[in-house]
Amino acid sequence: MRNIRLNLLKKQENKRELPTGCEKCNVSNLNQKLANYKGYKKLRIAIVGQPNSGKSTFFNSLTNFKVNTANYAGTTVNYHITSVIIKNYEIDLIDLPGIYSFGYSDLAEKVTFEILTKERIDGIIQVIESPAFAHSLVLTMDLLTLDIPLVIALNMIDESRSKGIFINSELLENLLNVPVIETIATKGYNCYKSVLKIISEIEKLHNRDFKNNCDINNNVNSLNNNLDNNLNNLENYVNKGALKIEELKYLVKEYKNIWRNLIEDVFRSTNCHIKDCKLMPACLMNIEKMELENQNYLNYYIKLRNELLKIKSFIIKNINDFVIIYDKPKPTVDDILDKVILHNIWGYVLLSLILLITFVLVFFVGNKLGDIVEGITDGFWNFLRISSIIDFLNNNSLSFITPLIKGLVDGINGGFGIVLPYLIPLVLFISILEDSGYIPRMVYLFDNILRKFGFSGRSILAFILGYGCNVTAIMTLRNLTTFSERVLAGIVIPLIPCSARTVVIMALVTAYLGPIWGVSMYLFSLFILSIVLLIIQRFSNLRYPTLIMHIPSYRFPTLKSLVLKTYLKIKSFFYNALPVLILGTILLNYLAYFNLQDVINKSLSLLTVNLLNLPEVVGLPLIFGVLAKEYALALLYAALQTENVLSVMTISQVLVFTVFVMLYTPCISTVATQIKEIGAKYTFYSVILSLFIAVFVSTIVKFVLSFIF
Amino acid sequence: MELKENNFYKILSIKNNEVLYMNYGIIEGVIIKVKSISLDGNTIYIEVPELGRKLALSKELINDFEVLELNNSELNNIE
Repeated sequence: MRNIRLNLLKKQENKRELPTGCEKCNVSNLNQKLANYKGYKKLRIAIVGQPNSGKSTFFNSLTNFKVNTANYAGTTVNYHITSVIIKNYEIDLIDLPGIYSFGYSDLAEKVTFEILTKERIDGIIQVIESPAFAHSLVLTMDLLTLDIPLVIALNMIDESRSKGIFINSELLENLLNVPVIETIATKGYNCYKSVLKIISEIEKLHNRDFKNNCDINNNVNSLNNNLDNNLNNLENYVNKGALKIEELKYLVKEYKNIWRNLIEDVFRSTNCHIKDCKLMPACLMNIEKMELENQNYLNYYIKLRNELLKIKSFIIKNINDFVIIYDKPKPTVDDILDKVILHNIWGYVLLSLILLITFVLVFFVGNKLGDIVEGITDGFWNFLRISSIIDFLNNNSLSFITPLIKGLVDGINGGFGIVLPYLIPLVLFISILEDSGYIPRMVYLFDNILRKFGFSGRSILAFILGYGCNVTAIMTLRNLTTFSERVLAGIVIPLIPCSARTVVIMALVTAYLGPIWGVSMYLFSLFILSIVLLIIQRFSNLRYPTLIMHIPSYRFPTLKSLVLKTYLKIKSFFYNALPVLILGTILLNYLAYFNLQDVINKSLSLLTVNLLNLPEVVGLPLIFGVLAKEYALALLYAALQTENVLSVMTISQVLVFTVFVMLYTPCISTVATQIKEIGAKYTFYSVILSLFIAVFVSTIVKFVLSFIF
Repeated sequence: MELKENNFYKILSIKNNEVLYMNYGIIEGVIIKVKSISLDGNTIYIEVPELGRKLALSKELINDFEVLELNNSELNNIE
């Protein structure tokens, strides 16, 4: 039987696919070359923890890699990997999405589960949120069953002490037989020490590996024959109630053995009816989701698993009793704040106020910033005397270079003067909401509203993030538990005005008609979204997916984190949108130079002129808007040859144009993300749906406005 | 069972999804406090005082638990 097991394991070993790493991480590639050159030994260390425990902050503090962080569960939905060289090792540090235990319930948790159980991992650092320590051992107990060197990083130790929660780390280390290190990842305190510790644990294992190999096999043999006895033995302890420290240590050790023993037992009695599974204990936690060849064994597995869960709960409770000391409970700020923020009336009043204030501040700050930036860029171009260069080129038969320079100037002006001033305050305010812990409270407030549309409150995370960037929002859908909810949200999220479309609303509607009109556009987009969802719900009859979500403590956003988050989002604009914006503007200028602009505009005139009553020149900006929505605005200015839009278009035309841009085909990055997350078929539906809605709604708006203006 | 705001309940047993609930700290024998109930009564905000965890959950999920309402004297005994 052992030979069969070993052969199976060997087969699975061969099938292992090592992750290729983060394609964007040049540091990793550079370090890899350096490591190959210098002959460093390679290690793969995973940073694991429950959601919102500070893994990404821990990861950021160890590397120069900058991963987005926030104060709610599920910020990291994919893993990040980067290389660091410590001692004689080239270490691949892997920041994995949060996982509560091996019994995963969403796709982000599944990513972690699969990497831990199917890929090569030499060591694990479990980052524990110390203020919520009592619950964190659920994952620790599962990690122990993997038999991979483990170090526990008791993170946010300062926060737990301020809350009156003291953890005896030495005793914890003794009970679990695993090194425990107190850390504060936000300050980088002891993060490096944790890595040194895990390296020494891996070294210890390698040193004793060969020597003890035979002993381990003998141990497994003896346990094989005594599965029931061992289980009964553990249950006797459970029934006993309070334990001594030595008894608890024995129980933890035996618990690991029982899990290991199960591998042998299940192989022997069932001939392994679980497909593609390296580690039976981990899979047993998800037995209901596994594909079984023989369903008769399902109940047996579930019964066994539930017995072990009881023992696990008992061990965790006893460890908590031993290692946690609570100071006198004080009424926390969280409780006082929650009384108002989650109040059935005041909660919603406050929510509306927060959204309104955010919008108004973005408008005013954006306007002021826009004026400042405009002054700087005007001064800069005057300094370079662009107009004289263009005159010089035109007079010397070099006029074909003119569109290049003009496009470059217009593109940079559009990016810096129009988009960035609104984008910076918007992402900053969304970052404040993310870091403060308010967004999970919004989940609670929105749950009873969203359930009418077939969503749980959990999806509000995606909708709120959608106001920043649709791409980020669609990636967050991995946190939703049901496929139908993921697909439906993935189809309709592009209808939410993202920061790029907000820029269009701000620069066209709010700037010319005032903030009330700007807010009305937002409310209008919400109205359209609700109608679309109600129609889909009516025809598809989707069942409400139930909500269960951890609500974190409030935290005061730190300046460092806010600056980092804003920087990451702005950086993405610089890398992805700005170059295309500049290239687009140059292309537009060349199209005008070769008189091709008119051909494209004319071919779209049926939609733009005949149906929507817009100027013919808006055709090309709308085409470019598919690349990124900001271009529709920047290129509109270029096409109209003025930034004073109202001198060329009527109020009614401005509103119809804005509504169309707000609703039509999502940008190309959103489409690419949709294909990845919900598949090509549903992405196609989404594109067609948004195009249809944009044409239909804009036509109605044009009709209604003809009675007003 | 109809839950009321600010009351404490003991989870006597869990009928389904034991693994899922354990992830969120809800296990047999644990005490929960209902901190708030939404306007339509469909979403509940609870606390697991023993673990210092707060959760938002749908009312439907409560059907998976067999709960016992604790009165003041029972609470004092536990403390």
